[in-house]
Amino acid sequence: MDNIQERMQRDIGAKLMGAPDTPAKSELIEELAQNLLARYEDLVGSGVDSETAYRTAMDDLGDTAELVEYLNSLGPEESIPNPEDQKQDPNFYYTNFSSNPGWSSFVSNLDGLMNTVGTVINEAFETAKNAMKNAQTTISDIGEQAKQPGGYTYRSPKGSVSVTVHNNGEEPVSPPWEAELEQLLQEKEDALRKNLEEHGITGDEAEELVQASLESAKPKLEEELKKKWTSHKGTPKFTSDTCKVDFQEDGNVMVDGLLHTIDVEVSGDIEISENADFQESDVVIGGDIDKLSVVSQNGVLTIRNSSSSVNDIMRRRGWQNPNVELILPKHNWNAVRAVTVNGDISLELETAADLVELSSVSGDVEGHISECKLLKLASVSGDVDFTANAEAANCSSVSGDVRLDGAYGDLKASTASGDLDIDGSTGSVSCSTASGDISLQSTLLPGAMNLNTKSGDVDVTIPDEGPFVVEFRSMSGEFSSEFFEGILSGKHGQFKYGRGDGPVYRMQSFSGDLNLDKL
Amino acid sequence: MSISADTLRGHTDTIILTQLLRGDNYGYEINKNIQDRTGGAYGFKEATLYTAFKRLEQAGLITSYWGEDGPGARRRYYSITQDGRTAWEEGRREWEDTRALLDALINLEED
Repeated sequence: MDNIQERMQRDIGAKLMGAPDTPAKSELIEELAQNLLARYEDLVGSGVDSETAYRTAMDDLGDTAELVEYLNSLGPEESIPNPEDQKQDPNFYYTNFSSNPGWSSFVSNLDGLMNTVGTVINEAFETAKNAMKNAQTTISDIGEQAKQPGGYTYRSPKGSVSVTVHNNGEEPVSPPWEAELEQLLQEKEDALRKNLEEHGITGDEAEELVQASLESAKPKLEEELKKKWTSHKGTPKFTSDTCKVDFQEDGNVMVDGLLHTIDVEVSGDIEISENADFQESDVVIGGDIDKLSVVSQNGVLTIRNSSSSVNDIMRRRGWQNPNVELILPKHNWNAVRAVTVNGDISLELETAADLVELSSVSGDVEGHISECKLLKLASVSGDVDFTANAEAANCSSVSGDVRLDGAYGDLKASTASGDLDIDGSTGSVSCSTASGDISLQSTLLPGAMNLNTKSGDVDVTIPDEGPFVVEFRSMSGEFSSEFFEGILSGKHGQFKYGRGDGPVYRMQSFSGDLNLDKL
Repeated sequence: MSISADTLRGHTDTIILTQLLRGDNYGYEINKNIQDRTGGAYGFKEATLYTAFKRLEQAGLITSYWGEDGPGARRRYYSITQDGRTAWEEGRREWEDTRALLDALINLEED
C-alpha cells in the first residue's frame, strides 16, 4: 500500500508544480495523498480493481489551480498562514472568487505569460535564423504565387498568413523589348517596300513578299532584343523577365518594371522610402550595391547579400554588412519585407501594403506606413518605433522598447524586458511583458483588452465611455481607477462600468500596479 | 436530481462549517459525510475542498492540527472556531432568506 501512497504524493506533487517547494506545500501534498488514499482503499474495499480505484481517486482531486495560487500567495518561509494577518485584509474578499472562473485561471495565466516571454525570445531568434535560411524558398514562393491573381499564402517561419494579391489594379506588363521590336519591324517593312517599289514590284505580290520576309525575320530579331535587354555583365548580377535594369550615373541601380513585392534580406541597414515623382516602374537601389545581389522577377524585387566566396567570408566575420537604400514609386504593394541581422530598418511609405514585415536582430525597426492589412515588426535587442494604420499587427522586441502610434484593428505586442507604449486607437489589444511597463492610450474604447506584466506597471487611458467590464488581478501591486474613484481599489476583482453588455478588459500583473484612467 | 453546481458552490463554506459543527474531523471524512447525507449525489473535489479549508483557515473561521491515526500515519484535523460558528449562523440565515425568497419567486402557488 505504501507504494500507492508514494505514487499519489508524486502525482499530486506534479499537479502542484506551479507552486514553490515550501513546508506548506509538503504538508498539503501529504494531506491530500492521505485522503485520496482513504478514498482509494474504500473503492478497493467495495470491489473496484486497483488501477480503476487509483484513477477514480486521482480524478477526485479536481482542478488544482486554486491550490497552486494559495501556495504561491504564501511567503517562501511561511509554512502555515497566521489567520490574524490575513483576516484584516479587506481586499481579499472583494468579490466571491470561488465562483469566479477567471480567478482559478490567474495562475495558469501567469504561467502563460512566462511562456509568452519565452516564445518572444524564441520567435525572434527563430525569425532571424529561419529568415536567412529560408530566404530563397520564401521569395521564390512569393514570386510563384504572385503570378496567380486572387491570393497567395505567405509562409512565415511561424505559420501561414493569407494575403490577397490585388496586382495594384495594373494590367500585366508587356516585355519592354516589344516596342523596340515593333519599331524595328516597321523600319524593316518600310525599307523592303521601298526596295520592291524600286524594282517595280507592287500590289499583292509585293505584300506577300513583305509579309513572308517579316515573318522569317521576327523570331531572330526578338531573340537578339531579349538578349540585349536581359544580359548584364559585372556585379551586381541581374536577371529579368520583364524589367530593365541599369546603372545610374551616381552609382545607383535602376530597375525598370512594374513591381508589387519588395523582399530585402541583407546583413546591414535597410532604408526604404518613396518618391512621388517616380514613374510606376522606377525603383532606385542604392547602398553597397557591389556587395548585393538584385533580382527582379515577376513583379518581385529581391535583394540579398551577394554570394561570392570573398563576400561570404567577410560577412561571416562581421567585416561586411552591406546596406540597402531603396526608393520606390508611390503605389500600393502586395508585400514589403525587410530582414536584417546587424542593421537598423527604416520604412517610410505613404502608400498601402497588404503585408509589411520588418525584422532585425540587433538593430532598431522604425518608420510608418499609411495603410496595411498585416504588420509584423520584430527586433531582438533593438527598439521598435512605428506609426501605422493596420488591420492586424504583431510587434515584439526582446530587450528593446516597443512604441506604436496610429490605428490598429487587432494588435498584439510583447517584450521581455522592454516597455510597451501604445498611443492611438485600438480595436482588440493584447500586450504582454515580463519586466517592462505597459502604457496604453486609446482614443476609442477598445473592443477587447488583455494586458499582462510580471513586474511592470500597467497604465491604461481610455475615453470616459461605457459599458465595459474590467477584470484586474495583481499579487502584490494595487489597482486604481478614475472610473471607480473612491469605490474600489485592491488586488483583484471584476467590475462593470456603464449599462448594458460591454467588452472585457483584463489587466494582470504579478508585482506591478494597475491603473485605468479617463482620457 | 439536477441542482445547479453554481448554487451549491456559493454555499461551500457553510456546508463545510456545518460538518465541523458536528465535531473535529479530517478532509476525507468530511467529504464522505457530505456524500452520505446527499445519497452520493454531491461531493466536493479534493482541490475545491482544500481551497475552501485554506480560505476558511485564513479567515480564522476554522483551525487545524495534525492528529495521529494509527502507526506512522497522521491526519490533519479541522476544528471550527467561535468566529466560524458566527459565520455559520450568518450563512445559515442567508440560506433561509434565499430559500424563502426563491420559494416566493419560483413556486407556482395560488395567492
